[in-house]
Amino acid sequence: MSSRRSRSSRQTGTSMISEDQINDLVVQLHRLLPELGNNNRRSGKVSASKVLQETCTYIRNLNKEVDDLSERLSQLLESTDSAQAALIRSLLM
Amino acid sequence: GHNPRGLNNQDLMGLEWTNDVESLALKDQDISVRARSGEDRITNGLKWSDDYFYYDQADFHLQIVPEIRKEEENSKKDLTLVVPDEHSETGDHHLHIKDYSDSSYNRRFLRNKHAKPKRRRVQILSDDESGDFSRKVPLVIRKSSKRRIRDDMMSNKMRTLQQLVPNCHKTDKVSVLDKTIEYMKNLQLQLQVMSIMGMNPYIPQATLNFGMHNHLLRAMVIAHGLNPAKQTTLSPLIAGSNWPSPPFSHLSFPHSSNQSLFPTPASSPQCLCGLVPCFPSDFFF
Repeated sequence: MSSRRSRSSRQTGTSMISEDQINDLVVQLHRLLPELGNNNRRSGKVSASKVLQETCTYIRNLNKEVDDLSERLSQLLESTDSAQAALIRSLLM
Repeated sequence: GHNPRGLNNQDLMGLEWTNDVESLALKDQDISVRARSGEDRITNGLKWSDDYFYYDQADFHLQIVPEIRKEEENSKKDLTLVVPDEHSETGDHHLHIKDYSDSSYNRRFLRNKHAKPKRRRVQILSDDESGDFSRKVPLVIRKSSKRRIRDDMMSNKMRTLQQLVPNCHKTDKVSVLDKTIEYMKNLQLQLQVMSIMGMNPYIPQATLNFGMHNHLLRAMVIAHGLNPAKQTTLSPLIAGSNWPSPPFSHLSFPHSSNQSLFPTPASSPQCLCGLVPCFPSDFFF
């Protein structure tokens, strides 16, 4: 994008990162977030602070899901006679 | 040439106003000053303890932007910034200073005053005539204080994100946002894969529709003999988490990061090679 400034050319002192660049990232982040209330309808603008807030919540949720799933998978791996265990092992190892 | 520090009222009156002062509205990080007409500016007895200049970089004119007119009340659009000037030579004046408790805020302006002539403009008001001026001067910066509050909130959230996202060592907004985006994509993918592996009868259909890897994951699911139900409408991953929880006891699985559950791809033909790295950019067919 033309408005994107190369991040390696950061100047000392005041920040020269353009607002557009940050806004673009925020929009991108918003697209990743689950849209719970929108029914696939996206407004033109997104509030950056709201996006960040939802991002924090979402990441925490995702981490928790990962932990839960890891526990379940480990449990499955423990059982040697399950077909699921075979499946998981075949995927992981 | 002008010596900014020695300028007094006579010099002020003798200056020619070259530019249209109405166009001097600056949008800066936190200041805006709405320009007013030239006549309104020249007030009697206004003494300056110091002056700052607006450098028009196009044609390098120097302009003095004096204080507002006397009778102007606080209006919502009037924005004036008064900063304490540590370098003022007129020590006998008592400076009428708006108290910014955030010292870094002040430092920012002072630095810019002495550094390159960026587009900043601040004013120092002496209150030798404080009887008249103190009640008229709109010291409250409404827009910029709101903006500052928003910036504070924003940086709080940035800091939170930094703590959540691993390996996020740079503190600038762009890096944090970048890493956050990558991390979220990564987490989503990981959850998709893990849910397929671990929830045989309980495959949450929502997860299969999530993200760009769903067709690959479907193929993976079908290849292993599992039978995903018909495609449901797109729904978020977390909202689909009213999964029936299998009656597993909790075992601690030794995973410390994203990578531990996904070892490097083995040579097993059944193993989906390339599925497991952190950044799934290179495993598409």
